[in-house]
Amino acid sequence: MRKTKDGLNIAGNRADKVILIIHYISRWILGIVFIYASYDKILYPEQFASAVYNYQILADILINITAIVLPWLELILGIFLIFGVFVPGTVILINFLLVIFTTALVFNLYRGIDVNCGCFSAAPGATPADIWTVARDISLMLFSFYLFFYTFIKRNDIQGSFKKIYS
Amino acid sequence: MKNNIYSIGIKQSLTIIVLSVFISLVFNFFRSAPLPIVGKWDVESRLTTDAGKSMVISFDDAVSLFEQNAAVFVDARNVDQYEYGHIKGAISLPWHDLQERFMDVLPEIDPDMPVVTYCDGESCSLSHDLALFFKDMGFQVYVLVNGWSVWKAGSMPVEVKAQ
Repeated sequence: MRKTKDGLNIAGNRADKVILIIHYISRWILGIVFIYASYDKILYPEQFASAVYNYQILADILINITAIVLPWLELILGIFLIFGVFVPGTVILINFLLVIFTTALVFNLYRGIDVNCGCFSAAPGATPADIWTVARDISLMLFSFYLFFYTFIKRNDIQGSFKKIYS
Repeated sequence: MKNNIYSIGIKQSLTIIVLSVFISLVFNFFRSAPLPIVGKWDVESRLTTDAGKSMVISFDDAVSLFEQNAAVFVDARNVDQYEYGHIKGAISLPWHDLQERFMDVLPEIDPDMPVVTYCDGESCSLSHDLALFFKDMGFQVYVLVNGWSVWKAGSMPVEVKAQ
């Protein structure tokens, strides 16, 4: 049994290796996407607040605090994912956020409200939300579900590899 | 062990949230222009300019401008909604296509006339965003809040798609 630098135990088993490689790829992709998504919003919280307002889901009182905290949460989650810090907690939050984001998008597309996505750029008019935005969110969710599955549900069934993972 | 990982995950999630709240509030506090923790998002506040002047036009005033042909009405909704039905004579300038469409639309707007922007819904912000844009361009501009709905409700002239 070999130990990787962030403490994962890998059995020699090939299936485990594949699982582990996809695990790393998922973490890196989601990490980069979350960091990239946070950047513009951290710089322009006023514009992001307008984007949040336009979704017309949150109560007025919660809009600014969301616009202040959410981008930093995304940045921290992105960094933690890439460096493998607090992985179970990070995986829970990433899944939670992606589900919320996608639901909000679908809800507004269904309502026919013309929202600015506010996903990667806070600038008004930059990216109107459409079916492709939803498709992108769903493909990101595949990675996050994968991480959730192997971090929580299937954790004890695989041979050795994830026994000592991240705790 | 299995239950344990969930409780670890939840504890870590809470830690991450607390950390984010703390860092973001500190960062916001030290910004040159901190965003207020609770913002004013009601219709009146959003449609008041930095100089404290409201851009909202009442339905009656909008009607009188319309009847005197003394204003340009601009529809900020997307093209489909515009084609489905709009205020008679209104120009379509969807907020999301602003950059592509603006130069095409500009010749149709008389610079000496005020612009009245509208969209649909009490909290629709497209007309507001568009109004701020026109204001920056030097136009005199008003926002007819919930324009399409109040216009129809007031039985004012509209152009609708032939069925």
